[in-house]
Amino acid sequence: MRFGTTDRARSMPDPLVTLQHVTKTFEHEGRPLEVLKGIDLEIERGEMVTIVGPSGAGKSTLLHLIGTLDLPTSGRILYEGKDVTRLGSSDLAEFRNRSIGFVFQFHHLLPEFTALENVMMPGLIQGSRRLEARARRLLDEVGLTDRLTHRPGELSGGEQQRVALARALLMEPKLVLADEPTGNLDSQTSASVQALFFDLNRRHGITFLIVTHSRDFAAMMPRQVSMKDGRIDSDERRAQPLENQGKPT
Amino acid sequence: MTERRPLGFWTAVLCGLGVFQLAAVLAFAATSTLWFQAQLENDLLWVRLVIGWSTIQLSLLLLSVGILQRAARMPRGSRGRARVFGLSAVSAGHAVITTVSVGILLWAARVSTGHVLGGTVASLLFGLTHLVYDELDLDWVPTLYHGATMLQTASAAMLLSLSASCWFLVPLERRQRFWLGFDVALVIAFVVVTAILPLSPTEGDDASLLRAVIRVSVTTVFAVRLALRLVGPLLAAFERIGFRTMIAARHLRAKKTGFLAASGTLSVLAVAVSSCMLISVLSVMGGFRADLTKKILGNNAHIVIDKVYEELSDWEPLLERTRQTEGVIGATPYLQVEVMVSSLSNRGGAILRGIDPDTVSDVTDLAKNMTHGKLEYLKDPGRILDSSVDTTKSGPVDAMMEEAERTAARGLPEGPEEEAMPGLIVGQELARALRLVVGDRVTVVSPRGDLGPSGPIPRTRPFRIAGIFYSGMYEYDMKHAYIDLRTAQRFLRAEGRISGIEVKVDNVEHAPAIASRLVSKLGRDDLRVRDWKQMNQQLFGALALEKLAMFITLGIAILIAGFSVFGTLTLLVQEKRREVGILKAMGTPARGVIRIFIIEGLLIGAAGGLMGLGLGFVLTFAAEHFGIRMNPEVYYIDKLPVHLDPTEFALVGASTVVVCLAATLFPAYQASRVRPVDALRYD
Repeated sequence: MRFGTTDRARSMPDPLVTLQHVTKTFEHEGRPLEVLKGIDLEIERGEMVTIVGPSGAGKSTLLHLIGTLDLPTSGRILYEGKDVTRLGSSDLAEFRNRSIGFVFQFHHLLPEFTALENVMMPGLIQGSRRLEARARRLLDEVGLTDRLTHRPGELSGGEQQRVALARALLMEPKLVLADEPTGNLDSQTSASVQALFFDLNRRHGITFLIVTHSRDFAAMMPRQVSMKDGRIDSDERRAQPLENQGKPT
Repeated sequence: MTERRPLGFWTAVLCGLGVFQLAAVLAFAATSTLWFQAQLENDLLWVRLVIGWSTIQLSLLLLSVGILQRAARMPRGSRGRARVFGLSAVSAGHAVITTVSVGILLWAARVSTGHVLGGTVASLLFGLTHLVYDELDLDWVPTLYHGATMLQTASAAMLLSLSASCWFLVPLERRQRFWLGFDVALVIAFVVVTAILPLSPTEGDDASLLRAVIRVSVTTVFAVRLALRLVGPLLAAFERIGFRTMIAARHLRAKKTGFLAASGTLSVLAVAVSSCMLISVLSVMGGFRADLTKKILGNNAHIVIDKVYEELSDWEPLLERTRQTEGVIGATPYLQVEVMVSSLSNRGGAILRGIDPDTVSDVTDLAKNMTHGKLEYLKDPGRILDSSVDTTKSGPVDAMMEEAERTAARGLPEGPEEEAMPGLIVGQELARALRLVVGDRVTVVSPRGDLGPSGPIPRTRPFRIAGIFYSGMYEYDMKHAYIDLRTAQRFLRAEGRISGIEVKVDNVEHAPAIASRLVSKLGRDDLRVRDWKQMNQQLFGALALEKLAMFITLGIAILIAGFSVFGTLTLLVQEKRREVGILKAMGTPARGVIRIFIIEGLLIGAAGGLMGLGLGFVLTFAAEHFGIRMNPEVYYIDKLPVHLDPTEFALVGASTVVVCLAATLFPAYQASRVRPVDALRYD
């Protein structure tokens, strides 16, 4: 995947992600519960977007839909113009593996594997073992050079979260989705993880979509989408997307 | 004074000895009569036994007392204090009880052989009990000994559970040191026994049997330890194969919650026990079949050529041509009719066969099966009486043939014309029923009589018993009698005619092909050519059916073991739900998840199956080489026949794997249905 200045020269390329009238309804005790009530959203390459809003506004559900972990009840989700809601389950798995990286609040590392193996896992799923050098480099980049053979249980919360971030980046995804990545970290660790996000965005031009409750973190983000009651309440851009600063990875 | 040092190496050793005690007590109790008998004959064995056993028990006693002191120094209320106390106290008690009870046994043996005070220092030490019981009647001894054995078993069982619970109080690193010591000792023992002990015992020698048993036991324990040591490296190697095997192997190696660990162990054991049972039973049934086949082939011809309704005349050219056929290594004519044989005391029906003594050995094992008398006496009946005291090997019939009966049975006056009386060979059971020995006179009544005024009159003729055979098949030993072919032809008014030709071939499996070759070579439509499989079709058919039924019945046991694999995997899937969610979020397709869990189930099944087959191999190997004695009066077989068939091992292994595979399918499918959103949402 290349992020470059040529994109702009082309006549209106498709945005990275486009959501069209996406709704999601859950069945709760026999009654339908409408969590998302028609979302329209576009995310450009290299953007850093944060989604904020009160609990129960549907932020996580939206993130799961964008991450193709779940399918919308109605509406379409397009990646570069292609509708992923129509893909079959194994194509979807492959798409997720190659194009999307996840960072969860509870990091969700595999407890039986070392930090290095956890980072390599998306590559191993593809049956590729040549990604070890890249995994080492990523762990180095997130500052965990000397934690390669530690298991998640032997790492601190911040370290685990950084391993999860390195894992999300292994396959050079187009989009990294983060669900409250600093939700259970202390303020100092949070700050360093947040700095890491910005650094990666600046240096590799990776697109981030981050759900957070942290006001400070949200305030730092160039684009802030706030949700309320299953709808987008406001969509503010504070600065130009940083795509021009992206360089080829 | 108290100390907080963790429990050490010696506690581990005591636990190890404690686990071993129950097996030792049971083995000793099971073989105690054997020891008893062995030491009647062998003074040295007894001394060795006493020294060896006393050394083990004394060291156990010393060790227990040491650990008891150690337990006393542990701080009050510290974890496992009571357990260690219990372990050391019980093992000390056990050592004392065992020493005393073995002393009783050996002393009793000494007393019964009249060696009350004779012996060595060791016998004094362990024969001490005789001072106490010297005044008692010997009848008390067995009761006392059995009481002691029961007490021993109980204390050994307590010791087993206490050892198991104390074992985990010892720190891991010291336990590993114990295993290292154990394994080194085991390797040395294995090398030594492989070098000096025989693998199969020589016939009828208890000492060599014991040595072979020791060798097999040591080799088995060695193999088990080796396999356990290899589990880790094997799983590690397995991890390197690919992504799915990596996840599967890692899941199995990971520490699990208590219930899942127990369930996993149980399912491996269930698979092991059921496959071991299946292969053992199949081997025994195969043994019966092999035994039967051997006996049938030994007593019968491989191919029989005859006519359906009449006898063969002009048979010499046929015999010649048969002998020249490819694959035929022997052929002999016979004439057969049903007769009545009567002795002085009894009478019985028999199938009388006229045989050619010169060529019959080319085809059947009759000459080898003779226990009394000789096959050659048929040709030369005059020699029977010259050597009426048996010169051949003695057989099981000997017990019956007591001297008094022999003289009683031989009641007939022996005139000079008796010299010409032709010889008759009968089976052991018929001889027993008619109370016959070699040299006795019998009358044979043939249905092919002369025509008298009131219809046919049966023809009778006296014969002299020329020999007795034991074929191992009751039917033959009870029903068959042999005479010379020419005598038979005269007696049965069938001069120049025979019933058929018996043929032996070089490879019994080729018998049907050779039979059809014979048909074309002889080129006569009126002849019937049958091979041994055709002739015994019903018998082998019944055996095969029985074996199939056994396979199905015991296969159900494997199926039940499969249920436990199913349960374990379902639990595993529940426990790994979150991880499955992570893997799916990262892009593992559903079929990848299915494969991971199938591999896990197969690994469980393979571990159990290999264990079961290994155990089954040891059991059947031991039964084949050491022999399980059976009562020949009841079963007509003196040893349990066992036949190891590699194909059956492969078949049992394959069916175990298939059952385990089937058991994994549903849990694996369930795992693949886990939705990452559900698995990741709650923590």
